[in-house]
Amino acid sequence: MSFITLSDVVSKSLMVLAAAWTFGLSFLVLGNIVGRFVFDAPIYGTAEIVSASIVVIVFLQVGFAIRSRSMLKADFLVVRLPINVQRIFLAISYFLGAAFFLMIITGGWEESILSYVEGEYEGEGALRVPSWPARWTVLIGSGLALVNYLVLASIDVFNLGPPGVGEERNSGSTINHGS
Amino acid sequence: MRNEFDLLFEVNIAILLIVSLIVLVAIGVHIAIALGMTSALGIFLVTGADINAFQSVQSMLAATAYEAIRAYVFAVIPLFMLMGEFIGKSGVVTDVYRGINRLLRQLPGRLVIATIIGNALFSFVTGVSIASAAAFSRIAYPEMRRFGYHKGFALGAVAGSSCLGMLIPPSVLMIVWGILTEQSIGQIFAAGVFPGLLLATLFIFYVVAVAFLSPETVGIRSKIEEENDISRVDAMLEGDELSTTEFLISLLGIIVVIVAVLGGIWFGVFTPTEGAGAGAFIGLMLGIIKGMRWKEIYESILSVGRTSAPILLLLVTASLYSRTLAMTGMANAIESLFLGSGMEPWMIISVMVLIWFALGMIIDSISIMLLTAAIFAPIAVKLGYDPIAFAIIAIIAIEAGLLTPPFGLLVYTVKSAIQEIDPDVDVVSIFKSSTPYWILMLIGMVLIVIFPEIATYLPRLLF
Repeated sequence: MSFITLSDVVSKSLMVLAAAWTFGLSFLVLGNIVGRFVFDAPIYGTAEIVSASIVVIVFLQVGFAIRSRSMLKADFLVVRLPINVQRIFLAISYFLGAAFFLMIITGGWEESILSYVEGEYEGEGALRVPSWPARWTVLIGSGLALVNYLVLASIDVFNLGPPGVGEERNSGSTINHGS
Repeated sequence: MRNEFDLLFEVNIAILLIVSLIVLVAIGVHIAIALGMTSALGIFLVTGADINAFQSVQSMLAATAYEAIRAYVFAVIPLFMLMGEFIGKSGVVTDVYRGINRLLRQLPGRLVIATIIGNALFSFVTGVSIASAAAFSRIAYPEMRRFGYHKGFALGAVAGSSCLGMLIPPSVLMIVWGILTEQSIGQIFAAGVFPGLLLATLFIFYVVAVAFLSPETVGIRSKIEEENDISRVDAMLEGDELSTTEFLISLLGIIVVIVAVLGGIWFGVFTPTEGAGAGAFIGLMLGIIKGMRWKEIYESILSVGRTSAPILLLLVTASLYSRTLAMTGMANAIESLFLGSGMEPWMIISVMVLIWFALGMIIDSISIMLLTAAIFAPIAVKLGYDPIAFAIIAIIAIEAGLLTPPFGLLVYTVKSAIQEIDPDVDVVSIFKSSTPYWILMLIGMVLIVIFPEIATYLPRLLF
């Protein structure tokens, strides 16, 4: 199994997990409404769980979003340029993407470890949610995002990847919507 | 002396940041990354541009990544997208389109009217007008061709009507604008109702007028044929097996979703997030009634997984960007540039609209909002515009920007969507026929600028 295949499997699995989690959230929110109105017993901590979940969901999905070229961008100008210029711009684009997520990791790892060691939590109200799972997901998700930018670079810029993985290249559509 | 230096420094940084943002977006860097890296550069420059500054940039990025969307309200986006996905995949919108088409068979131009209503609903459930234009072109265009409609006229209607969906609450654009400008999402939903109805009415009047003035555009070539038209349509619809019950279930389903979600939010029964959760559940029920099974449900859930993450990530970097705007004094610099220019308020609004139009040529509406809302909304409020009315003005202008000749994205989307079906239609003819819708949207927008009550009446009544 090549590195790219492995990374794709991991990215996709985390995305599926996060998608299922989103689906689950809709039932939690619904349960809370029903509980509140019908049984006069809301589900305690719904707001806290949902808030923490959103961070987790986004960072579980970000790797796949990058890999499946679902990230919003403008290629209106780029598609009209010669292929070699396009390659340079893609290289810049992927490098900046990788750098961005690298900075999130280097800026956040210390606090993430501390949050676990010191038992940091969020929320004053009904439920105290420990903050380390969300913080660590941010790190893991950013790491995967970084890897996926490198994977895209190896495919699009250096022509290393298996042809035809993911969507077709430069299909002429102006915006990649993933759906 | 010192103040002058500071001001010069701020203006220089502001120019540098704006230029680098534009360059990055133009060369195709992911918009979230363009926003994030430009912000990082801005923070780096104002905190001293040395190794310590680099460290504070990193901790700020990390902090924002964790904190920016850790709030209950952000769940509204994936949950509403889930609702839209269930409704979209269930096929109810196509049912409504075909049903309206059949009900209106006595009316000339009925297919275009059905397209306008159907596509507005469809873009409302997809949440992205570009995606909806692409999908609905393939649903409605072959039908209109079958009945001999003018090609450009048919496609212009698809492009024009996909903008309309963004004014049907609970639209994603309204949610994003509410989050970015810290306005009540429920109030913006309410504010969109009358402007949406106004635009829909204008669109339909236009179509009926065209149908009466030049019947050949809607496939009627002579008087005799016009008389035969109704029977001809009946004959052609014979193979159409949509039953009345099915149509009513679909129509009722959509109405129940909208009324339950919006009614619940407006009457204070639940928050927008809870409304979205309830909406997702009702959407799921509707899908199951319409025959969705595990496979389709699983596909819908995955599809939201793919499409919601990029938008939420954009919101993370947008929050970084708005913080940078404040920290670097960029927001102030742009604000004083506008307010100190001596322009009349309407001229300033016109400049904003022109900028939105220009952006509508290169990026989608959500990205346009993220780039501009944090700067434009405070200026508009200082000029004395109602923030809720301005939200609707912005949504109409940004959507109209996607139709603006000669580069509006929606028109190119429609063109590429029907490329396989009918490669002969050229972009110019689609632009020609979508321009009337563009003008009507501008008229609607100007009306709201002059009479903000069109937008603010309902929210004032409800809240």
